[in-house]
Formats: sequence, structure tokens, C-alpha cells
Amino acid sequence: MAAYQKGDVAAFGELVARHEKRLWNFLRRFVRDKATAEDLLQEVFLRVVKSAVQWQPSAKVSTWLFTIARNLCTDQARRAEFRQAESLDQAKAGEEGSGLRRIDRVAANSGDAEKEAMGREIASLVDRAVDELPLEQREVFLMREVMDMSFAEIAAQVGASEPTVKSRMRYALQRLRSSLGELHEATARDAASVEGTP
Amino acid sequence: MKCSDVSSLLVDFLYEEMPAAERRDFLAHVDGCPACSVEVKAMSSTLGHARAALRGPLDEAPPTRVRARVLAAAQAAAAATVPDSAKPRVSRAPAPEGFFARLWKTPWLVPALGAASVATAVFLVKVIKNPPVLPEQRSAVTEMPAPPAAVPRPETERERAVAPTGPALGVQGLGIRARESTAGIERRSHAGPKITSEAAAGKLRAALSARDSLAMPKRLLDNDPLAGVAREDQAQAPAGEATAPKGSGRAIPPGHAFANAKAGHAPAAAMHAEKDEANLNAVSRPQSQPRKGLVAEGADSSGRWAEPPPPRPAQAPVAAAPAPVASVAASAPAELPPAKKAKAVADLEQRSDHAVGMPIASSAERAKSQEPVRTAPSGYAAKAEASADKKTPSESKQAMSFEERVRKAEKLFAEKKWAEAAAAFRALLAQAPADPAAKTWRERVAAADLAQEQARAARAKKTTSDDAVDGL
Repeated sequence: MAAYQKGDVAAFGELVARHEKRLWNFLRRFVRDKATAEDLLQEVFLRVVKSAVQWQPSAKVSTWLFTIARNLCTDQARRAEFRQAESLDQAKAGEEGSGLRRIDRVAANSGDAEKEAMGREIASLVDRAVDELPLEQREVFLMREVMDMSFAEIAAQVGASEPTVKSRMRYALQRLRSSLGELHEATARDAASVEGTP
Repeated sequence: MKCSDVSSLLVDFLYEEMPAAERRDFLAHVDGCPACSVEVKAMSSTLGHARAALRGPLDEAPPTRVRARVLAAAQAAAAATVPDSAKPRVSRAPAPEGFFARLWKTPWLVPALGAASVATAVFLVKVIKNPPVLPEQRSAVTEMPAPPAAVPRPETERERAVAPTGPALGVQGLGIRARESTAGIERRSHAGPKITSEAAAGKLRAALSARDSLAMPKRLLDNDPLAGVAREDQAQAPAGEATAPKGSGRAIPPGHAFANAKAGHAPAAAMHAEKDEANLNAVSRPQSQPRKGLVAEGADSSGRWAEPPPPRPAQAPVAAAPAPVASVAASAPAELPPAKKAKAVADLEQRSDHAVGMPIASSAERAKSQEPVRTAPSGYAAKAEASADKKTPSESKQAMSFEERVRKAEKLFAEKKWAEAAAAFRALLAQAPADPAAKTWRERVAAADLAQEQARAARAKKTTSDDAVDGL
């Protein structure tokens, strides 16, 4: 960042390459929409470019980037609440567009293919379960699992106490367990029905 | 540990942020509690699945187009934010400076201010040291009595020989004015230029005449053109009672110079008179002759005020009587028309009952005059003594003839008949060399001889110039 302040664009390219994947996953899981996540990711780096002259060496670049990303996601989530119906439609469309079909989940009989199919199914379930998490629980879960931030850093970032952040994390895990448990039950019912057919 | 505790500590257990002892307690409770054990295993499995999904299939790379856009924007921003040093400077027209800014930049401002400051400081110092004197203050200064330094200094023998002893009379105001006039002339004469100005000499003579006129009787003052000055000075004199000189038995009117002399002004007045006479002589003396006695009153030759001399021994009233006749006779030719001069001298000579005309005798002369060898008393003292001693008629007749010769000599001198006057005074000197007025006679002789020489020189010069004109 210091090099970019002196006009080194290549240094800024390296900075983008170092942080863009985690930011993208965070945004992607947070806003649920790939195009919106793409816009937000671009907006995060553009804000960094605009505010590069104001950056102080004492500030941590990753913290600064994720703070910008979180603020953008929060604003986007608030705007999405006014368009709840559309979001519900997008969620349904996303579910349809995810390509996760039950036939695909049980199509492969081999071990690797079964594991791969199970992985896709679980990933899809996890993706949906995370999308359904409340905003506060979702950001804490993503910051911890995607951004690899400690509970103390998360607490400082969201402006809450550390026990509060852990409590939000516990509620998020319970919701995920609940979602993944239904997925397991459904998978088990599908598998039993397939085995019971002549 | 309770099951509720296991629920609250579950996140710390899953993320391994629990202390070891607490972890052991936690595991002990979970092992013994089937419900808590199922709960912990289910939560651990859910977290495992979530991590596997987020870091497996859900771990996506961002679109490359995003990076391209961001880098393009960063490059554009970097180009826009080139350091100021690399930017070409845009020449701006300099803003017009104000008057004071331009004034401050002028190179001569600081020297001018410095010179003005120095001039102001010098002016202030001069004003503080010599404050300006207002007209009323100046007049007050003029009316002030003579400073202590005006006390007459000891007279040198040479000065006594040159300067005639003037009248021991004086009025404060007149003394100051005479001092001022003579001091000015003295200063000018010390400065070097030849003092032949008739104006300066006339001024000095006027001051002396005014002083001498105070010793004249009132009726003479009424006819004297300088009486106005004398009366003014008389008015400034301290009013005193009529005083009779010792041994004379005659009363002197209040305000008379003689009374002032008795009241303690005699030394200063005598000194002033002597100085005035000496200055008059210096004015009329040719430039080639050395100036003697031309020193400011009360000051030595270097201009500093001399120590006050010891007071002169008290002079006898008769001897202290002034010799205004000689002064008038000496000044009259220059100041008065010949007819008026002659009338004034004649009138003065007729005042034989007054002390006017008696020269001041020195102490030795006074001592000698009190001896019986004195053969030719004259003037006021002679008359008084004659009336007191009741001399014989023959002696009185002889004395009268001697006085007539004196008057005649003075008259010739006043009429500028220098040769005849010199001869008359020489005859008087031959007859009465010890007379108190002998010194004055000698001065008359010298003055007459000098005047003769000057007249001769003037005639010779005129003849030379006429010859030169004729030659042309």
C-alpha cells in the first residue's frame, strides 16, 4: 500500500491478488448474489484506490479492506430487506440455478464420485443455510470461517463484546445444524426409497 | 459443570479457545452426559461440514474482469495523483502587492528610518539639554541680578596701567546691560575679526554713557539724550534711603548709583565700569595693539569663571566718587553733536557741588590724598573740604584757578582739540603729578596723542588716494 501511494500500480495489483479471493467469498456468501458480490468487490477496491492517500502505515490493510466490505454488505443487506419478495424469488431461482439436483446427488455409485456428490450437496446445503442466517449471525460466521478473524477482531469490527460475538456464533451453528440435519434426513429418505425400488 | 454450562462453552470448545483445565471439566461432563455428548458431536459435525463446504466447492476465485477494472482504475488514479514536483508548474500572474508591501521592500527604507531615528534622538537630546526659552522667560533672565561669577576678579597690574579706573557706581539693570553689550563686543573681539564697527562702538558708548549719566544730577539727565536709559535703569535699582557719603555731609538721593555702591554693589559696579572703559579702549585701539583686559566679566582668559576675588577695601566715599566727566567727555565726541556735547560738559563742569568728575583713586593714591601734601584737591571733595576747613581766600582762589585749568583741558579734549588738550593735561600733570586725577590726565594725553596719530594717518591715506585718483 505504501508503494502504491508513491504511484506503484504493480504493488496495488499484488495487494488485490492477495485479498480478492477471501473478499470475494465473503461477499459472495454475504450478499447471496454473484453479480452483486462482483460489484461490491469492485467497489471495495475502488474505494481503496480513492482513499489511498489517506492511508496510514499503522493501519492494517486487511482490516481496512474487510471493514469496507462489511459496510458495503450491510448497506446492501438493508436495501435488500425492502425487496424481500424479490430476494425470495432470487433465492428460489438460485436454488434452481445451483445445479444441485437430487438425481445428481445419488447418480454416482463409486466411492470418489459419491464423496464428490456428497460434497456438492453439503456445499449447497451449507450455502443455503448460510444465506438463511440472520445478518448478525451470518457476518460473524463468515468473518470467522472465511476471513479467519478471531472473535476479538470480530467483536472490534462489529462493535460488540466478545461473548456476544460467541453467542451469535453459537446460534449460527445451531441454525446450520438444523439445516444440515434436514438435508441428511432428506438424503436418507431419498436413499431408502431408491434402495426399496425393484 | 452443568449442561447449561456446556451449551455456553460449546463455541470455545469447538474453536479450541478453552483453557486446559476447563476443557477437561468440559469433556468429563460430556462423557458422562449423553444429551450433551450428542449435542457436542452434532455441532462439531455441522462445523466440519461448513468448513469443508466453504473451503472446498464454495471457495471460488473472483472474476478476473473485476481485477482488470480495479487495476485500470488504480492506474488512472495514480496518473491523476502525480506528485506536485513532477507536475508542470502553471505560471500564475503574481498578485499585485499592496502599498505597504512595496514600501517595505524598497532598499532605502531601512537606512532612511535609521537616519530619521538618529536625527530624532539628537534633536530630543538637544531640546532636553537646552530647553527653548520663551520671551517672558528671556526677559526674566535679563532682569535677574548678575551671577555670582560676575564678582570682579583681581585686577592685574597691567590692566590697571592700561584701563582707567572707572566709576564705582552701578545699578543692577544697567550693569547687566552694560555687561551684555561689552561681553558681546569682547566675544567678538576675541573671535578675531577687526572690531571697527561704528555700530558696536556706539552701542558700547551708549551703555557707558547711560551708566555714567546716573551719576549726573537730575537736571542734566533731563537734557541728556541717554537719560531715558538712565532713568529706566534707575527705576530698576533698589529703592534706598538717601545716603550721605562718609565725610562729605552731602545727601545722595534714593536710587542714586552712589547709594547702591554703598549698599554693597560698589565692587561689581567698579568692575563693570573698569571693564567698560577697557572695552571702549579696546574698540578704539588699533588692531595692531594687543588687547588687554578684554576678558569676559568674572572669567579668566580661558573663558572660565574665575574664583571670586577678595573684596576690595572699602573706598572712601569721596574717593569712590566716579569720574563721569571723563567718561562723558570721552564718549560725547562720538555720540553727541558738538554743540550739545559742549553744553553738557559745561553744565557738568558747573556742577562743582557734585562728585561728578572725580576720578577713582587707587588705595595708594587715596592714602596719599589723605595726607597733607595733597596740594590740589578738586571737585566735590575739594569744595567740601574747603567749606569744612574754611580755607583762606587766596588758597581758594589758587584752587579755583587749578580747577579752571582742569575744566579747560577737559573742554579741549571734548572738542577734539587733541594737541591743545594734550598740552593742557601735560601741564596739569607737571603741576600736580600726585593728583588723584593724574592717571586720568595721563590717559587723556595718551588718547589725544593717539587721536592725533590717527588723524594724521587718515590724512595721509586720503592724500595717497587723492594722488592715485589724480594719477588716473
